[in-house]
Amino acid sequence: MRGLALLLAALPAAIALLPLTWWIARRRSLGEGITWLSRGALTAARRVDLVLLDRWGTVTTGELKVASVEPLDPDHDRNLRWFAGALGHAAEDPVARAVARLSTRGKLSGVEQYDGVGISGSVDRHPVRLGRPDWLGMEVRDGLGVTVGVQVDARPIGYITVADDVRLDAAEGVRRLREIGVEPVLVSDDTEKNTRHLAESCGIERWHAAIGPADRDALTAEHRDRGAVVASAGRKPVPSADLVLGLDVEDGARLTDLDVGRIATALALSRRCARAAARTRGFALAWGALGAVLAALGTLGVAGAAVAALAGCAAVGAVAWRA
Amino acid sequence: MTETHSTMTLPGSALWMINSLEPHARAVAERVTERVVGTVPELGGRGRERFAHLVLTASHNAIRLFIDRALGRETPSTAVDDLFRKLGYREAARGRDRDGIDNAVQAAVAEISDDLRVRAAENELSAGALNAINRAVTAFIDHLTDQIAIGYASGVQARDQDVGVARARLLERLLAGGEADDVDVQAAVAQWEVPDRVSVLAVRLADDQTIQADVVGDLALTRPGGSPQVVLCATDDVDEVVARVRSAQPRSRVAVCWPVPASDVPAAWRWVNRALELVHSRVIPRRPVIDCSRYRTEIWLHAEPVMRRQLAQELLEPLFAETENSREILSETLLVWLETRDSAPAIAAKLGVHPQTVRYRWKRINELFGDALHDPEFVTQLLLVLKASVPLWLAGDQSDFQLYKSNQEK
Repeated sequence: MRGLALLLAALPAAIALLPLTWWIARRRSLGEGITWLSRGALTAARRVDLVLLDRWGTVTTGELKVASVEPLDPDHDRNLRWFAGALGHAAEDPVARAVARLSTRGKLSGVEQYDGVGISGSVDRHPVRLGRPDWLGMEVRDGLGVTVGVQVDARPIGYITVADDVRLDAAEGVRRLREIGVEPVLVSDDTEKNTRHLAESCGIERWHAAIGPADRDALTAEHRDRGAVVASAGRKPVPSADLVLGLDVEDGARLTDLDVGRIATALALSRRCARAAARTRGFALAWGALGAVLAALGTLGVAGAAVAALAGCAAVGAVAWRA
Repeated sequence: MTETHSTMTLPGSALWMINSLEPHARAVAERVTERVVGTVPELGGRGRERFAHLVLTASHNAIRLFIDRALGRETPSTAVDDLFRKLGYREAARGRDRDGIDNAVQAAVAEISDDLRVRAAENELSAGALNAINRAVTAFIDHLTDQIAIGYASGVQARDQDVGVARARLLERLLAGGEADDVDVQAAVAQWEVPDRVSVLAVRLADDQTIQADVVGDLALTRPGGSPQVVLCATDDVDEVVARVRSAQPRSRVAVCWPVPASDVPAAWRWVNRALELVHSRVIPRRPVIDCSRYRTEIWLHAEPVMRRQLAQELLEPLFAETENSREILSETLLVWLETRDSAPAIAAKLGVHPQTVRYRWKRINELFGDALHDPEFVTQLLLVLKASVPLWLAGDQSDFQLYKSNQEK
């Protein structure tokens, strides 16, 4: 009988072997729009001390927005918005998508796209071109954002500038990352000037400009070589990173939205989970050891040991839940 | 008879009385006319007023000629003779016998004799002098009666000719805008009564084809040969006539004018020809039968092609300097605005474009034409020239632009 009481009293210590905190952390993360695809990812996340934030979707909404509309003749303001917007609906690049939001769809014909230069087509039978000012023979603008020129009937009628649509809570998300000891680094395919402006507008101190998809592996490796545990967050995160956070990743953490606040939440959850796991393990082992000693001394009978085991399991669960 | 008429010798008192008659020649002629028309009411028929006018003209001229001859003046009688021949021809052409016109002459002679007797009594003219005047008048009347007989004989001869020839002559008179009286006479000879309202048709025929008169029969007048071939009929018969023409010549195209009075036939013939020309230039849709009443605006606007071309060069110069695409859409928009004066959304709905596109085009139009668009005279001319020109351009006519370019290169 004493042996049975001993086994029952030590049961809470055995619960420490179960991944209770993993289950609880995973469940809580789902409520935050975060899906941990493996325990390893959660474990890796708690060690991350640097996160590479892709410009598209993390600190921005992932879309550009029109920053300014500058007609050459003030009377052409609405014409500029209408013709450029109508033509913009025919293209899928971020600049065209931003310009398209200036107007409704119109009757388009003869649309042609010129990679990296612009787009041309007819809107209500008027030939319209939208693209780099130098392509259109217009004066080049050197301001922030991306400025495109607009021609209607072979006559320039104005400029439209689009820029990153910075998330309203981007700075708060960046601050939270820093609070948990993670350094945010902005990675952008945009120019140095635009990247610096974006980083500064959301409080990021380090950035890498003009980084194309092919350069990202090397950039990640460079940071890892310096001893950092690197997370890569973006639409196409770098697989060689210690942790990947993305919308449709196969491993790591899958997020419903890439906003930097959610990334901070995911990394903060991983850290809390690690602490809770240690605390739960310690509590369970202590409870189990105390029960075993009392059972061995004969203080606890079988019934008492069973009650102590039940109370211990409940207490361990409560400790794990508080994580 | 002509000798008697031309060698009139009267005593001095008779000459004095005839001389005193001269200022009253018109009044005497009016009384003669009144008596003739009152005595022989069947003369004249439908054209009674015209007949009365003809009698007045003839009698007035005859009295003046008689006075001139009596007073020894050298005055040719040709015009008076023609008038009396015409009277005779007119009656014969209408198929009437001589009795009516003989009665008219007797009525006229009676009125003149009464007038002379009264004047002789008032002037205490001797019986010998009055007899001399009566003899001269009788000889003069005989001469005029001879002219009536000559005209009557011609009328009878004309009636006995081929009715087809007579109808062709009637059609010629109608197309030439002949006098109503003449047309009536020709209609009588042709045995084809000209209705109050007629329809004029222009028939475009395939090569070497023609429509013979028997195709339309008594329903219409036509002139075989040539294309377009003219066909003229009563408005009530136009459907039947068109059906016969199309049946005889299925490949023909018929332009039908709206009903017009006979006096407007020459104009109607121009209109139907113009309608066929506009079909050729694709301004009017190509259909087998063209109802001209539906295309009055086009027919009117293209009445003066040279003026249209000149106005286009003058008024539309800013548009001609644009690219072909720009010129087409700006002129189309300007025309709709000039026609409707609607809002941008309403014009956009008509043109099938976005309202902002219309506002943009309107700004461009204002840039091109400037303050001229505030000049009502300019705007009216612009509307007319665009209304006439845009359909031509849309049909592929490039002549305006080619002319503009050649003028620019000079």
